[in-house]
Amino acid sequence: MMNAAMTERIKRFKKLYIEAKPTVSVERARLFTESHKNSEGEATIIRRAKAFREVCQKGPVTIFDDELIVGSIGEYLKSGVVCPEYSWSWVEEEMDDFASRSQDPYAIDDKSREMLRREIFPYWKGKSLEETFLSRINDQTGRILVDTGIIDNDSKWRNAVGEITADYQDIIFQKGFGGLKKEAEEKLAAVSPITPDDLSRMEFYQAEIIVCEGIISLAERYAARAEELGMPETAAICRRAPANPPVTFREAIQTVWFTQMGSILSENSLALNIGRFDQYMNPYYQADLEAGRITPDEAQELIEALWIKLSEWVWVISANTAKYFAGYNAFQNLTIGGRTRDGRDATNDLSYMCLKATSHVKTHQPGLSVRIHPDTPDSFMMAVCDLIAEGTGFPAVHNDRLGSEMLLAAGLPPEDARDWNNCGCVVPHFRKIGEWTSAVSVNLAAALEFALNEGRSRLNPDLGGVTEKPAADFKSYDEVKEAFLKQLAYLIKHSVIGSLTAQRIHAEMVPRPYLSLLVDGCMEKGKDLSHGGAKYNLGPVLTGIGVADSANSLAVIKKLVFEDGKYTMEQICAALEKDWQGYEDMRAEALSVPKYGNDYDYADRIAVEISDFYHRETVSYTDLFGSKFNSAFMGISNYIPAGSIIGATPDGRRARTPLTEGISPHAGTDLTSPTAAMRSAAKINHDIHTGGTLMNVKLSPSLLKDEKNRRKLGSLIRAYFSLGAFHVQFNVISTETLRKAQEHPDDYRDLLVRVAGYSTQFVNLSREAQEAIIERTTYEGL
Amino acid sequence: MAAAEGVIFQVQRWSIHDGEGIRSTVFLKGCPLRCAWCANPESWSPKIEHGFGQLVTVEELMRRLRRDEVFYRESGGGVTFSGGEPLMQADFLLAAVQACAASGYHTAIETSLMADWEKAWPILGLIDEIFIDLKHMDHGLHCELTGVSNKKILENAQKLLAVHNNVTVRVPLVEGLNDDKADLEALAAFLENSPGFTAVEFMPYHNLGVAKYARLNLPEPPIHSSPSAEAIDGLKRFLRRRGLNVL
Repeated sequence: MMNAAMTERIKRFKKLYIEAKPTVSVERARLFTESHKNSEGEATIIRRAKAFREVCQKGPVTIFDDELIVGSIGEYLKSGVVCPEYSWSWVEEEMDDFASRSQDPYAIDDKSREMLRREIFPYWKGKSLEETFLSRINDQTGRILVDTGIIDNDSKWRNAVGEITADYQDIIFQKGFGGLKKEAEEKLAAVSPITPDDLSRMEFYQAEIIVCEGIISLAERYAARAEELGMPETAAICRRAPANPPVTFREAIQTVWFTQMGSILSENSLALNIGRFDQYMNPYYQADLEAGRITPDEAQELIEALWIKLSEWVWVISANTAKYFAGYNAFQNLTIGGRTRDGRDATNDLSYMCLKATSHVKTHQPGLSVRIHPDTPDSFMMAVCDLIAEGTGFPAVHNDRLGSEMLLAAGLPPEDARDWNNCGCVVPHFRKIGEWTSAVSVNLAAALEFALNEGRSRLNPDLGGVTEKPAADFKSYDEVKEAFLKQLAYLIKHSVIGSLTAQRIHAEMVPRPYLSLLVDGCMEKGKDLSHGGAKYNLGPVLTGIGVADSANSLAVIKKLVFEDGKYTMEQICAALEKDWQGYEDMRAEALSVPKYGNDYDYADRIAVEISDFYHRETVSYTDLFGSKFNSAFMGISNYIPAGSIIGATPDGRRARTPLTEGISPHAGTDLTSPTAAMRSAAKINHDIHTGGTLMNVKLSPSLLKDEKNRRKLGSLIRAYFSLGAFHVQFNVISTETLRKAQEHPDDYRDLLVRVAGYSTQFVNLSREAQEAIIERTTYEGL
Repeated sequence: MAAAEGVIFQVQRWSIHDGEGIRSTVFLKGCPLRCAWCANPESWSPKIEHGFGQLVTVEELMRRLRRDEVFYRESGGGVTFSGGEPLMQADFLLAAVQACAASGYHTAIETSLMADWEKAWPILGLIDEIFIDLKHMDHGLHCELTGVSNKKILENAQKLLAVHNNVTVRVPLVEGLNDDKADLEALAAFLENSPGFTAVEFMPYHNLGVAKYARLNLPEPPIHSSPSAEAIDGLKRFLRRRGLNVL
């Protein structure tokens, strides 16, 4: 019988974690740079391997009080590291404001900043990935790609790529890093340098040996420190793992965390996924239970300790990147549930324990994802709904079968396709895949704006796409649509160019010897991830932003201009130019044209057309390794910066306001019901967007209040997936939202009121009604 | 008006408080009562006016209801008929209920039972889940509060409870009007002898419909209030002690 509550120890860890300030530790940067100073002239991959080893062997070793799992990437509880080899100029520009910036601040002391200025920046000046990218990207592409918000891929040149799932099942737990080192040594010995490829492979294996030494040293140093602190059990574990395959559950978890630490120290990137934790940890859990080595409560505590560890490190990013990936969110995805490799239901004890861990500690990491298939047990579905009901936004729920189908379509064999996990946000992924899962953010609303504004941005006339005739000269809706698609194709083309440019430079400058250990294929081929070493290589994902906004805008033009003849294109554009000032009536009419998300084919079918086109255009390109590019509509917060550079749009949206994330309806426009919003979203062809399709749904608090209603939530999810949709995540309407609705009722017309027997066709959110809703007794009204 | 046509004022998707599972609620226009606390005054008149109401055929209605079919199926939900008083358009309602049954939808109805039994029972007999409103057991007070006598309503209720096995009795609770223990004593006595009912459900007053009155050029309704949560709990306990199932 499991204990319902967190242990005192976890409560303490959680408190410390909440109170700690995110702080930048510069030791990693210092040691990494020192090593590079001493390795000039050597092969790049070996220089990077040596630098990693240096960090492991000389970096801070910090164990906090009574920790169950040890390992910190810096001296602080919430440490972040700086990786100047990717970019440093934004650090120099922004670090004095790190502590005071509004989005995701970090502390950094004077001494650290001084050291960075004195020793780090000067060394990397001219040598960083960012500088190389900026000097190599061609002018035409660069003009719309670099910090414009039109197409954006700075996470691929100001940062490392990340986006891998470590292969615990077949690599780390089977071999340990000691075994991997031995394997690399054997492979090195077996190569003779008689071809250029062989030379590269030798360098690769040499690098692998070095990084293995690094991670093993790191663990040994933690063992020594644990010994000093009188933690013999921890010391013993750190001596065994991760050099050796783990035996116990606790060793396995410590291995997971050390592996993760290695990834963070080598790259400081997003989407270093934990993968199918409930699947690969279960054998250790069951064996420990049987041998009497562990109790369920002890295992639960260890899982929660890992959750906190995953949340403690901070992904240090520029203010610009923080707008796209807000919330200190490193997107370490952990996927539970789904089916096994041979197609049976995979739900096990740990699946439930993971849900419970998130419920207990409520940390923002890991990014908990669930795979749901038709045979997912009702009890697990209810446990998922119970967690959703807690209002943290977790877990993200995914259509298990569709995920496998997407990977099958990408060429994976069926067993591997069934074994998928999420990468970062919504992307269906697998631990043997190398892929840039969020390569470029593409602003669809920019394409529309260019089409309507003679090929130029409304807010920044220096930016533009393809030259276009004045909007007044469009004679039909089809002409407008074609103009939009033409601009969109242009944006996609340059997104491809930006990706290819970045891919080439990554291969040249920032090979990933440590991460290449973790992905199947690299060791066998003797090839780094950045050179296509992974067993399966999938093309980069271009993420579209603003489907709803574009579809809604085209619908308005189609209806008001070309069907009803109420306004001319000239008048519409004049209104947009003035951000609707003086055109309030027109705006009201635009707002009342049926919007995507209300199950009206009128706007919905336009969304399908746009997204189908986006896909066709995207997959017509291939990347550095000959893989097709992939399409997606997702991305956590990219719709906010994307909206900030776009003027007013025909759907009634005001200039600079946010666009829409994924395939969700634009905020405040889904006035009908979650079922209608889902029906709209399900019309989109999810199966072709192999980078994922994100859908956020507002959840009524009344759904959460008892089991009967939570069951309806489960039904809602299953029904949505049966329509072929891929993902859904629920945002609970909080009291804070209700207060905002009081202040700005127009922006919250989509807040549904559901009381028995009450018709809400006419809800005007009068002050009294709002008060009534906020009042406890009628909170049920939502 | 042909038999297969009716006047409705709303098809509300995602109705989660009007029966089992995820449902759509069809609100029919026209009501013989004028309850002092009514939250759907746009339902009173059977006519299309003030921007409320549309004439639909059963086919058109089914077309709209089909949209959430996948959600009904997955959740054990279906279609609820409400209003107004749905039984006022008996021919249309019967055809609609038959069409829902033919499509395999679970059906429910919310009714005041203010109708002739001969016309009501052929419809009610087809419906899976029935919600009836009993606003007040006292004849005089019922007239005062709703504008009609409760004689026919109680007769129908008695007959219904004898022959249908899924009837929930909804009691709107308005502070000071019908929340007295004495009022509920009469209700308890009435229900005690009717084994056929499933449960009593209290519907605390809410003022969400107040704003609609002005739009309809109706005088502003009196402001009421709901009994407190504690009072409601007390009433629930009272009925449960009498052996009745209370939601």
